[in-house]
Amino acid sequence: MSEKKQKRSFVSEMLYNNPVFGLYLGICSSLAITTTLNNAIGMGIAVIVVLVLSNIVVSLLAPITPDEIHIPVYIVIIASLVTIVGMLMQAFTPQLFSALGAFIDLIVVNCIILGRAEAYASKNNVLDSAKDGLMMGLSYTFSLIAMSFIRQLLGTGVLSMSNPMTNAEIFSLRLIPEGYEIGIFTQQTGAFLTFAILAAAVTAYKNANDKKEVAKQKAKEAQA
Amino acid sequence: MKKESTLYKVLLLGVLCAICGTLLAGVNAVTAPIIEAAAIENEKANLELIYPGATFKEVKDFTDESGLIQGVYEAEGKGMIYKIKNTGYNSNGFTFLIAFNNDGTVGGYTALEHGETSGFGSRAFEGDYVEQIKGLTSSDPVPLLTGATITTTAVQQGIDAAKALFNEANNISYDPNAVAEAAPAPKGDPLPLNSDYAEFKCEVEELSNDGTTAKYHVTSRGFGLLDPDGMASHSGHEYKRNEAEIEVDLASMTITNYTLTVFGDTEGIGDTATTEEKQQEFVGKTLDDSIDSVTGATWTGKSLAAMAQAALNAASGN
Repeated sequence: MSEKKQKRSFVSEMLYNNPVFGLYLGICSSLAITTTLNNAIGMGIAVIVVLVLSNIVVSLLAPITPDEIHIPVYIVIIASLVTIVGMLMQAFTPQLFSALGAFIDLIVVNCIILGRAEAYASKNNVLDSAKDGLMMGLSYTFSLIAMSFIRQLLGTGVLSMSNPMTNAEIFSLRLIPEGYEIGIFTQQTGAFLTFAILAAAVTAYKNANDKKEVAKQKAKEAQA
Repeated sequence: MKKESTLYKVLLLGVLCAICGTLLAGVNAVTAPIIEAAAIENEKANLELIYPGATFKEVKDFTDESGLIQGVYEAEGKGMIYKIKNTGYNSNGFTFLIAFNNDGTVGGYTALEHGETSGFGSRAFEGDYVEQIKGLTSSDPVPLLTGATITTTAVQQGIDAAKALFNEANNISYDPNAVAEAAPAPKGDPLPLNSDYAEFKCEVEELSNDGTTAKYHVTSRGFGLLDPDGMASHSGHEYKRNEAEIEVDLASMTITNYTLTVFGDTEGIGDTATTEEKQQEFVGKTLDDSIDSVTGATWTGKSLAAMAQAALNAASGN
């Protein structure tokens, strides 16, 4: 994404190319479902699976796909993958499926997936496309977890997770005493607030880091 | 074939769709039974109330014109269960299950949730009425319950919808317009005529007295004016005093005639205590006797008893 090929750490790369906070893609579902950690992780895994598989298939089919019909081809692939993931989730993680509701089906039109198919997978080989899908999916999941961490903690005062297959609780921690939660964070307003603050933080980090990198570059040039 | 030709594009999309379709069908074949089993799992605890230990299967393919049937479940080898939601007196509605055994008799009738008034509509889901429903078959008309007419009418509509489905599926012919006799209102605790009825504030006026029989015009506050639990004042009814003409035999101090001339309480509820038969019950009664109260119309019944007491007291004062 960035023109200068800088060596960056994994976390730094995750922030730079973060689809939600860096590229502002897939915001719709991020705002809607980040009310609990469970939703975030469930949605994240669903997106990772779809993204990796769609990137693989798209990159495989790219050489035989004429330009005029590449979008319909991608949509058919993505829609089929999403439907399969949706059916599997409904069968094996029904609680999670009903919590995420329409947003499972809406993965089809999630800009990240079509965006990566169009911008990356159609021009790169299978292995790189799969890697790209995994990386993008992880950053998306990371964004969801960050948002839902804040929203669940402030909105309900409890951080909890359960096994989506059995609904057995894995952990549940009350960090804010009852009566001191900020209910607005479970609402859409809270989603926008959280999103804005995190996006600002990521941008601030990027700006600071850019300056540092430029300074380093200059120092290198001065030395040479 | 050239990559840019239309035929190629059509073929490519066609083949892609065929592959995707096959894949989806395959996954669906694996997941559909699991999803179906999970869906019935939520309902199973309720269905077990009627057929414990049976194997249940949801029937999705039914046409219900009434729109009241929420779900149809088959208990293998036993019968059919219908989940019904309708609205009675409480605007939140109620949900109940009605089941027909394979031989057409009612296999079960149980409320899942209801908010009907305790002692009135709630009787549609308790005691005698439940037993009465359980004694029916899929071709019998569903009786109503006096004092719980609105609730039982809604129950009746629901059961009728279930009957229609069951009878159609099993080719049972029946008369959908048949009407059942209303179940008699249940007897409540006895109301002694010599109780303390001061709060009814009876007013007595002597109409005639020939030395052997005296006739009195008595008025009394009833349920609406007493407003024992604050329900009446919110109901929007225009309540007034109950009025009666009562004849007393002065020698034996017994009531010889009791006629209610004005009914001032709730239509459909209080009047279960003021039927011809209930008025006749006072004839031959002295202050030492008591009458049966009517569940759901206790206050109106007391009001009538209070008037009887007032007339007898007036007669003995002579």
